[in-house]
Amino acid sequence: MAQTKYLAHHFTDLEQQSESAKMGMWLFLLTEILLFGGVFVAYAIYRAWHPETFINAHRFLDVRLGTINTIVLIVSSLTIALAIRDMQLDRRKQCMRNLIITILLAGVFLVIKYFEYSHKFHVGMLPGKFYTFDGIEGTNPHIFFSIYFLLTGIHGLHIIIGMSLIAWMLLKVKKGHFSSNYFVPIEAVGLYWHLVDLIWIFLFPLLYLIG
Amino acid sequence: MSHTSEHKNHITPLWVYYAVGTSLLFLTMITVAASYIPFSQFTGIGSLNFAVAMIIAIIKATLVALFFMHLAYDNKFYLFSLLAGILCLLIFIVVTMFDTQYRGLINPEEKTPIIQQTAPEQFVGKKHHEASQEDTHH
Repeated sequence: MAQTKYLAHHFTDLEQQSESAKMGMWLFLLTEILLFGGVFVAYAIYRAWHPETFINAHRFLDVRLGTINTIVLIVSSLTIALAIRDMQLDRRKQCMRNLIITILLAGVFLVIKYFEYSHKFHVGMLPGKFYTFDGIEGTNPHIFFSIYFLLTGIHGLHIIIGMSLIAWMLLKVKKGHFSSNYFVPIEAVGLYWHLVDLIWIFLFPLLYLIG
Repeated sequence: MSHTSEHKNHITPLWVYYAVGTSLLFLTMITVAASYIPFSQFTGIGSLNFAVAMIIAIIKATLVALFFMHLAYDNKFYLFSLLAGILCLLIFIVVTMFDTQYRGLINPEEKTPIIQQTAPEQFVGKKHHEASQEDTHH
């Protein structure tokens, strides 16, 4: 029976086991919100201090690429939600297919980010003292790019970690470790991936669409 | 037991996922389009564009949290945990902004936001020291 196969000895039943696992994941996500929160606070303060600079500097970000990346992340959020649903219904093949699509979309996001970053490196829109670009009016334009690289950098790191976790889940699904009775690790990775999407939902208008 | 295992294995209908996904894409288009409309100039309200963008982002985030993250069906403790995180973040932002923007209103020695203030002379170096020496005693 599923109860004996998946249940760790210190839980009463599978229900309690998976609820505990998800509770732990949600508490971790709470700390993630606060991790990004610190940079959001920095954004708020410096934008209030240098409103002109932020409006002038954001015009140098590519709204088209930012929009494409937003769409890519939303679709990847949808596909991982569908992958979890497939596992609830014991459809392993479809679950694996949706996980693979999610990983590919994360890859597309990173490739687009790479093009954005390399363009900024090239023209010298770099954080802090490395900033050499000339052509943004306003006080302290390097601060905008410090915050831009901090926010998108930490977010990009989360995308890479998320990709690895999804790949790990894909491997475990392939080996047959999960079933409709036990799939809480995929759910936890899904929650993490949705949080990465949630953060981007706020990053995109704050960095690309201000003004 | 049966009611709890039903709760755990709640399977969201497929159309809900597609409806949420479509709404998110639609709202993304709206927020991009809205950023090109200078609401602030039409109405004279300073940060209306910012408000519009944030309201759309909050709607999108709510959709993701409720349906993709299953908060609408799951144990409400998870929702509580998320809201606690957001509350802490709001306290963090609001209190810090009050300090950096309005410190001058309650501290008569520093009448301007701290970005416009010059550093006290002990942090600046010898150059400005002589000029402001008479102000150091209150």
